[in-house]
Amino acid sequence: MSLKHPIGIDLEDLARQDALTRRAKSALSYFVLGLFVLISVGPILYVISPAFRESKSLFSYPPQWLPNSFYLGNFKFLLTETNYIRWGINTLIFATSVTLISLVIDTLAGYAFARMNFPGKKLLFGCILATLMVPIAALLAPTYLLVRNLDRWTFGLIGLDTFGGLIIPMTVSPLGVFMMRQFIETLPKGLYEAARIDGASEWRIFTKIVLPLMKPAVVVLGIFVFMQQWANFLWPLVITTKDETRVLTVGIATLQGQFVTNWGVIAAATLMTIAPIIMVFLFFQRWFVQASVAGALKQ
Amino acid sequence: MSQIDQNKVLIDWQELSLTDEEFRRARSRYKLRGLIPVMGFLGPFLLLWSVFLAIPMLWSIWLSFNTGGLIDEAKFVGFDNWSRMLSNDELVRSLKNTAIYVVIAILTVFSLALTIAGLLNSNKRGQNFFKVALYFPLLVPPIMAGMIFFFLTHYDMGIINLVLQATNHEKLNFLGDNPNALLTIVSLEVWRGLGFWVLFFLAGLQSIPSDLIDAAKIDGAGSVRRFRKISLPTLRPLLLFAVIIALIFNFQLFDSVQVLTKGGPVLGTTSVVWFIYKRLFAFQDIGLAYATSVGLLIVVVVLTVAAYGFLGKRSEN
Amino acid sequence: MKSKNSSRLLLAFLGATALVVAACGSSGESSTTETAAVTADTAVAVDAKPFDGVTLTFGKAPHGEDEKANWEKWLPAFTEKTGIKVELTQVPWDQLEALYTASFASDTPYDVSYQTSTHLTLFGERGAFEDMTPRINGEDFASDLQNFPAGVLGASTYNGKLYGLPFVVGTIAMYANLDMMKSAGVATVPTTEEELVAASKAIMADQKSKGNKDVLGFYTPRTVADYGWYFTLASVHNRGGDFLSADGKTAMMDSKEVKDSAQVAVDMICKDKVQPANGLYNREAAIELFKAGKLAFILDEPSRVKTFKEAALPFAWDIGMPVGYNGKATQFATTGHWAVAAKSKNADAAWEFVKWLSSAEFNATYNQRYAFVPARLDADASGGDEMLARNASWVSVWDGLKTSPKVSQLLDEYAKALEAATSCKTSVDDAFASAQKGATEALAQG
Repeated sequence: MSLKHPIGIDLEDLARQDALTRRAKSALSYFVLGLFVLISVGPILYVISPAFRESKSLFSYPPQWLPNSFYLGNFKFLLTETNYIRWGINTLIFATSVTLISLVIDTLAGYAFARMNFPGKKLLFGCILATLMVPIAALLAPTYLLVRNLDRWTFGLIGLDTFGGLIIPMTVSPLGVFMMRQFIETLPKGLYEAARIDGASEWRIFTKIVLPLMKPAVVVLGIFVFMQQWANFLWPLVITTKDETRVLTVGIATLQGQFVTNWGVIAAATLMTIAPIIMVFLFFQRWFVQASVAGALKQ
Repeated sequence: MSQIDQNKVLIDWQELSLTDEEFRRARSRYKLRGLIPVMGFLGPFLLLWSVFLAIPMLWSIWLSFNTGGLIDEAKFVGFDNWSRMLSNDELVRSLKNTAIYVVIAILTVFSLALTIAGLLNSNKRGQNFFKVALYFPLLVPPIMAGMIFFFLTHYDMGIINLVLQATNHEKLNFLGDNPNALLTIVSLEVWRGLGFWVLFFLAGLQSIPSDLIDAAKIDGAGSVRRFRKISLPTLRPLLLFAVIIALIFNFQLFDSVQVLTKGGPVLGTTSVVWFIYKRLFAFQDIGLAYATSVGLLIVVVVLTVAAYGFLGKRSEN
Repeated sequence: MKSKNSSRLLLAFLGATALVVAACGSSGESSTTETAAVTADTAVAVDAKPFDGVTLTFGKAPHGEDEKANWEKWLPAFTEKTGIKVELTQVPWDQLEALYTASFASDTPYDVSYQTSTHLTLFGERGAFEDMTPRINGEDFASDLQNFPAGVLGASTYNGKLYGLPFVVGTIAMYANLDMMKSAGVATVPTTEEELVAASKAIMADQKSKGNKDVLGFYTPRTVADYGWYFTLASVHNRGGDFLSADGKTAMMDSKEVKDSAQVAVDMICKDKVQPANGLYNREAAIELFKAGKLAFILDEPSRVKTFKEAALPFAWDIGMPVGYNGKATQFATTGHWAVAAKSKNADAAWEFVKWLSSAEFNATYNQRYAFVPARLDADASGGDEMLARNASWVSVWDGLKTSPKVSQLLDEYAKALEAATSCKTSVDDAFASAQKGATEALAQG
C-alpha cells in the first residue's frame, strides 16, 4: 500500500531517501572523525614500538616495524639507573599543587574583577592581561634571582630546590583570572542582586551563589593548568638541581648525551610519562565532559 | 508662621549637611572600607602577581636599557640595545617567520577545530570517546612531542616517507628545506592544540539554543547557511576570546623550534622567542634580549587591541 | 552525585596537601640529619682530613646517558680521600646556557662545573669563574703542569687568564668503510680533499653497478643544529686561515681561506653530490647509514669507535685523520675544562676536586668510557685500543678553538653562513658576506 500525495509525490520514498542521505552523511562524519582520532592518537601509539626495542636497532636498515623481541631494557634502565619514580611523584606534587592554588586565587580574583567595583579596576585588569603576553623564557632569569632572594624572607619556604620555589611562582596565571572573570560575567545577575539587597556579604554571595555555579569553569581551568604544568620544562629546569625536587620533563632531558641520544630510553620514558597522565585524565573524564557540555567557556 | 517653619527647616538642613572637607573624608573612609572585601578577593592573586610577574617584567624593561645585569653588574646604555634591535637582520627574519607561523597555525587549527566540533555536535553518538581521544596529544610534553615527530619525519624510516615511497611519490625533506621546516612546526603545534580548540568550540556550539537551529531547518536553510547565519554569529564572542588567546600563545613559539630545528634551516624557523633565548643565554647579550622581549610585548598588545577592536565591534553588529 | 564529586575533590585536595607537606617535611628532615651526621663525623675523626664536612656542588652536562651512574661509582673514592662530599647536577646540553646563567647569577653557583671553550670565557669574563693561573703555578701543581701541552693551555687562556683547567680535547676522526673502498679499487683512506671526492665518486659508481643505488660517498654535519662549524673549521685552519684575526678583534668570515673551505663543502653536496642534501639525514641518522653500509666515509667523534666495535659492524672499517689541504692536516675541536666559581664559598676544596678530576688517573678512567683525548699527555685513555691510541696521537697536530667571550656568537654567524651556502641556494660569497656583517657587529658591541 502506498501513500500517494495529492500532488503526486511519494512521501514514503522521500522519507526513505532522506534517511539514506542522513545515514550516508553520518557515516562520512564518523569517517572524518575517525581519521582525526587516528592522527591524534596514532603518533603516540607509534612510540610503543621503539620503547620495546634496543636503541641500537631503532634506525637500522632495513626499517623494522615491530620489536623482534620484547626488550625491556629501556624500562629497566629508567627504573634502576634513574630516579624515575621520584621524578614522577615530584611532577604529580608540582602539577597538582599549582592547579589547586591557582584555582583558588584565580576564582577569587576573577570574582573581584567581574562583580566588585573599585578604583583603577580597568587599568589593573589591563596590566594583568599585558603580563600574559611576556615570553616566559625572557622572565626566567629575573624570576629565578627573585626566588633565590626570597629564600631569606620566607624562611626557606620559597627558594631554590624547594617545592615552594618550584610551585608558588607558577601559580600566577593571568589567563586563569581572565577566564574566571569572563565566566562569572555570564552568570545571571538577578540572583546576585537579590542576595545583595538582602544584605548578604560578598563572601557569602561568592560561596553560596557564585561558586556552586562555577564547577564547569573550575574543571576546565583546572585541567588546563594541570596539563600546562605537567609539561612545564623551563622553570623546573632552572629552579631545581637535585633529584629530590626534579620533575619528569627535566629528568628525561638530562638523559640526552651531548651528541648521542638513546632513543629507546627516551621513547620508554615518553610512554611512562604519558601513561599516568592518561589514567588521571580518564578518571576525571566524566567531569571534563560534563564541563564542556555546560559550555564553560561561553560568554 | 510658615516663614519661621521654613527657616527652621533650613537650619536643620545646615546642621545635617557636611562641609566639603568632611564630605571628602567620609567618602574616602567609605571607599577604604569598600576596599577591604575587594582586597580579600584580589589580595592573594595581586600579591603573587606583583612579586612573580610584575616585578620581573619591570626588571626586564630596566635591563633593556643596560648591558649585562645577570651575572655581572648592569651598565646603563640608554637606547643602544633598542637601536641595535631595530637594525638586526636575524630579528626581522624571526618576526617574519613568527608572523607566518601564527597566521597559518591559527587558521588551520581553528578551521579544523570548528569542523570537528560541528561534526561532533551533530553526531552525538560516541561524542565522549572522540573528545577524549582528540585531547590526547595535549598530554604529551613538548620535548617528547618533538621526539615523536622525529620518529615520524625520519627521511628513510619516518612513517610519512614510507607511505610516500610505497605510493611512488618523492620522499619529503621535512626539516632540511624551506618552507617545509616551518610547516612541520605548524603541524606539530596544530597536532598538540587541536583537541583543546575542539572542546572549546564544541562548548560554544552546544550553547546555541536548539530551537533556533530547528527554526532555520524548517525554513529550509542548508547546513552551510545555518553555520554562517546562526552558529558563526553566536560563536563570535567566543571566537574573539579564542583569537586573542591563540595570538598570545602562538607568538611565544619556542619549544618545538628548540626540539626540532634549532631555528634552521637557513633561519627558516627562527622565532622571536628563540631569538631572545639565544641572545639571552648563549650569547649573554642581555640588553638586546630584553629590548626584543619588551618589543614583542608591544607588538602583541597592539595586535590584541586590534583584534579586540575588529572582532569585538563586528560582534556588536 | 554532586556531593560525591565535591567530596572527591576535597579528598584530592587533602591528598595533595599531604604530599606537599610530606615532601617539604622530608627534605627539611634530611638536611637536619645530614648536619647532625656531619658534626658527629668531625667529632669522631680527630686526625680529620683537611676538608672534612665540606659539600661541593658540581654541574656537568652528560657525555652519555650512563654518566650519572658512573659518577656514583667514581666519586666515593674522592670523598674517601679528602672528606669532601660532591653533589652532582646533570645539566642538559640543550639548556646548558640557561641553567648556567641562572646558577652563576645567584650567590650559590656550582662550585665546580664543566665548561667547553665556547662557554669558558663567555661566563668567565663576566666574573663567574676564578682565574686559575695562580693555582696552576702553585707548588702543589708544578709536577702536573708540565704534562699539559702549551698549545692546549694557550687556546684556553684569554687575556692572560685561565678560567678553567683543561680536561679533555676533542678530536675528529674520519671513519672509512674499507670493504667498499676495496671493491671500488680505492687503496688507501683519502688524505686530501680531491682524493676524498674522487674516492667517494668511485665508490658510488661501483656500488651503483652492483645495484646499490642508495649508497652515498661522504657525510659530515654542515648545519647549525648539528654543529657544522665543529666539523668544518679544521679545513679553514689547514689553509692557514681562521674566522677571527689572531688578536681576536677583527672578523675574517669573508677571508679567502674561510670561503675556499666552504666552497669545498658546498661542492660535495651541490656539484659532486657525494654528500646528501642538508636535512635529509641528521648526524645520528647518518651514523646509522654508515653502520648499515650505505655510506663510505663519515666524520665524527672518536667515541664512535667504541660503539661501532660493540655493534660488530658487518664490514671492515678504520679511522683516519680528516682530509688535509696542500699537505697540511690539523685537528680542530673544542676543549673541556673544570672551572671553579668565583663566588664559591669553598674555593680551596673546589680546587682540590679539580686537581682530582684532572689527575692522570681519573682522566684515564673517564676517557676509557667516553673516548675523548685527555688534555694531559701522561694519561692513557686508549685502554689498549690501537685506534684510540692513534686518535690520541693526533693531539700533536691539534689546532683547536681559541676561547673568547664572543666566540659562541661568532661561531653562530659562521655556522649560519655554512648552512646557507651548503643549502645550494645561496652563494658562498653572499652567505659569508652576511656572516662578516653579523660578526663585525657582534665584535663592535662592548
